[in-house]
Amino acid sequence: MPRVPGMASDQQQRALMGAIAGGDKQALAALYRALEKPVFRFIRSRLNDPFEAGDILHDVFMEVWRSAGRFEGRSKVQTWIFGIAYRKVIDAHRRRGRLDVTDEFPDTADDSPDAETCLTASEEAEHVRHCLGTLKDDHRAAIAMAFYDDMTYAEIAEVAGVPEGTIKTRVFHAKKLLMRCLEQIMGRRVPA
Amino acid sequence: MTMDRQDIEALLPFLANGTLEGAEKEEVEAALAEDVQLRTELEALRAIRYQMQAEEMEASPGELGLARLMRDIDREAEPVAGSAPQAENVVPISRLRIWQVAAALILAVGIGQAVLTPRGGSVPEAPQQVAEDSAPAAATASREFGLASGAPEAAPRAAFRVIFAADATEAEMRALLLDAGLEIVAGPSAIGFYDLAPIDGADGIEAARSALTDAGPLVETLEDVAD
Repeated sequence: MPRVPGMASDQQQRALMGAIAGGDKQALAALYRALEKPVFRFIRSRLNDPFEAGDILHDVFMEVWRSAGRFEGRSKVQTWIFGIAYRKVIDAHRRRGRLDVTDEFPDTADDSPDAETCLTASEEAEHVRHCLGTLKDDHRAAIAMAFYDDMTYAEIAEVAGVPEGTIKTRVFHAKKLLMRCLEQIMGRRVPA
Repeated sequence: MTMDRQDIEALLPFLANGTLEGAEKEEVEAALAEDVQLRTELEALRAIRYQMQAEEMEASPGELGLARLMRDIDREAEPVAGSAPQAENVVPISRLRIWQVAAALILAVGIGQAVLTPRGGSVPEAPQQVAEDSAPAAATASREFGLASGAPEAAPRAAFRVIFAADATEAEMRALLLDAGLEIVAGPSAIGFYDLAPIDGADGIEAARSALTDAGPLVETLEDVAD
């Protein structure tokens, strides 16, 4: 995963988790400072409401505080915490009865290779953001973890609690939908 | 292992983010060498990833969020004890968590002290001393429930006391208060009580009560605050 300034290594984060399990609030503060931004961005990528995203971030670290003793060290600390965030966002969607936006993609694949010209203008960041918003939650979450946080498919599978093959399938479909959306918005062709 | 084209395409995002390794990476790279379409798609994926990572993230809760976290952890660690009487306008006790029930008692102690306190005067020494001796946590909670302004005489008079659902978000609470024409005049207490006053004064009380009643599970308890 990419390192951000001040982000502790996984080994350091494991040490922090041990201290948190022992009731060390300063260790929790250090872990929060190390992971707050990527966890918030992950939550925010799946929710439109920044206030709700902030509430969920708070809940995630409250659960880290309460559950640190149950961390078994079989995964990276960040992966474990992303797993908590993943489930809490799903709970938030369920509370609202929110429906997924896009479930299928049009079966009209176009093999014309013209992609390198499609993602060069500054306005394209806005297009990417818009198209991410059209994806259903599990697709968007998979792409967010793959591209925001550079996670492996095994790590994403662990966060989502599904087999690795499921993640490959989700990313495959999410990628198709994303490119199709970009193609439609930009009026150009992106390989699908 | 021999992959078909869909397998290769499924792994392209992980080549784009640099996490693909070993035999899978070799096989995908071999396929890329022979297929211009795959190479083009890989470039598109790298461009999307670049755009996503380059995007300026909006401000996260940061140090304010950390302060909130520490506050709630401290509150969670506060000792609570006892049980609370059940009033008719309070939800059944079976719906409340143990800490909420105990907190109701703590709040009752605080209210009792407030009633006994002459406006602008001092608390009779003996009763306060007894209360603090017997329930230091209660005294602490009572103090925390005071107004942040430190000037209770100037604050609007509270008409309702509520506990919001444990999973209520700030956005949901804000929307409800705006809809009901209410403002928070005290709270949250150590266990989550908020005192609410109608913005329009006494004229807005009935409409506000209806809005709170209709809020469903968002409002866990609703009590009228007596004058």
